[in-house]
Amino acid sequence: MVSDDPSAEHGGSLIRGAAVDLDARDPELIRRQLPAWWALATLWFRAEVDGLEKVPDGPVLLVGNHSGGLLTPDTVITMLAWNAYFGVDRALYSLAHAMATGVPVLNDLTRRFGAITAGIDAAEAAFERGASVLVYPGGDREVYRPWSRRHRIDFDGRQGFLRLAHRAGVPIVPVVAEGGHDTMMVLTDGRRLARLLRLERLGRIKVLPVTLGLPFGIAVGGFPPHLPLPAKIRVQVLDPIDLHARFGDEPDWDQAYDFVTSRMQVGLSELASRHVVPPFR
Amino acid sequence: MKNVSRSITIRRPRAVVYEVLRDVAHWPAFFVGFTGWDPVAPHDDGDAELHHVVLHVGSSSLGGLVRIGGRVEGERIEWQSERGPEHVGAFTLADDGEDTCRVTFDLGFQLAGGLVSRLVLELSTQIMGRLQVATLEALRHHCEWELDPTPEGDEA
Repeated sequence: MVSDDPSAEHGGSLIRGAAVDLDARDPELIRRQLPAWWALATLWFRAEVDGLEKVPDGPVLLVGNHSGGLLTPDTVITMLAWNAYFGVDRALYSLAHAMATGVPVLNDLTRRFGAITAGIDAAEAAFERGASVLVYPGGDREVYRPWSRRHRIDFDGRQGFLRLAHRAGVPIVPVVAEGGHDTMMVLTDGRRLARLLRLERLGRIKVLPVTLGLPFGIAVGGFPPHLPLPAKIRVQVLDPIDLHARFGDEPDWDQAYDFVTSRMQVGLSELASRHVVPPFR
Repeated sequence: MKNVSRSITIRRPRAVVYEVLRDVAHWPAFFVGFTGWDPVAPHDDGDAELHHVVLHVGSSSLGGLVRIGGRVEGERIEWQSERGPEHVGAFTLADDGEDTCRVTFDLGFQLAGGLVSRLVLELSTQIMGRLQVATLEALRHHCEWELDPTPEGDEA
């Protein structure tokens, strides 16, 4: 589950991700494994990624929507596409949920591909190195939103990404993705149950989803894990947004939030309109 | 005829949104799926009444000649096919609170043929619905953010 609100606090959580280590990213490993991963993404998800030429030079904050539960195939595809387009020497780090960077074995691979535990300090450190950062403000809530809301941008009002980009002086590059939610079906996000069980306090987990997928059928809270259906996944990079130019040095954050999510909703709806029959294309 | 209707709320006065819709030259900017849009004959008020259009829907490109007409000032704009896939469409505007309006996009279409066509028609309903939603979202963003950087009512 890649993502999260970079403004979130880690204190008090039982689940802690790996300590942020930007040097864990391994360009040579990415270079070696990229062809195989891209072949898999192309064959299984018929991945299409457009618009990377819109990304300006220098550090940027990619802001995306993501789907598909724990595996978030659209995140993997975006990371692969970035490395394929710009080359592995232009570093991209993705801010990941502590749960994802805390999983043994998996955590080693994801960190070498550029995943870091979500946090403002981590993102700013990446910018200072000249790297770019990928964030999914919707976090676990978005990645487990019900299937019926799969074509909606749902950041749950989280605005930390705006402050991060504004303070660092980097442009926001919106990235919309469609198709990830057809790799399984989220029946309910289980937010009430998660609140009752106080999961947020225990592990920064805000949902307890009930999903339908292969091969085990029903899963609760992402367990048992599912095999993603071979849904077609489209990713579209949108025009960059300069918050300083558009909203000045002291932005109205609510307005900036409305603008960014509005533009992303247009992009996502347009991608959805190309969909003929889920999950096939 | 199969009818599909989708609506959206836009934080702009009805008159402002109508001005955007009234000038059909604006349509390609927000009408998702248009890949061709050529005016054929000028209307009395300067608008083109007939248009050759190409619309990409799902995996198909649909071409045809469309007649824009049936305007009710400030409230409704209708069109219908003259050639190509048979359809009628309309944007209808209604006030929805102060400086806010509700836009409804109606589309009616039918396909020739038998049982298979009916199945395709059912499938097309979902596809057209998504295209209508995308168009309305783009219209909303255009009206709220591209006409003026600050939507009215948000200055506070």
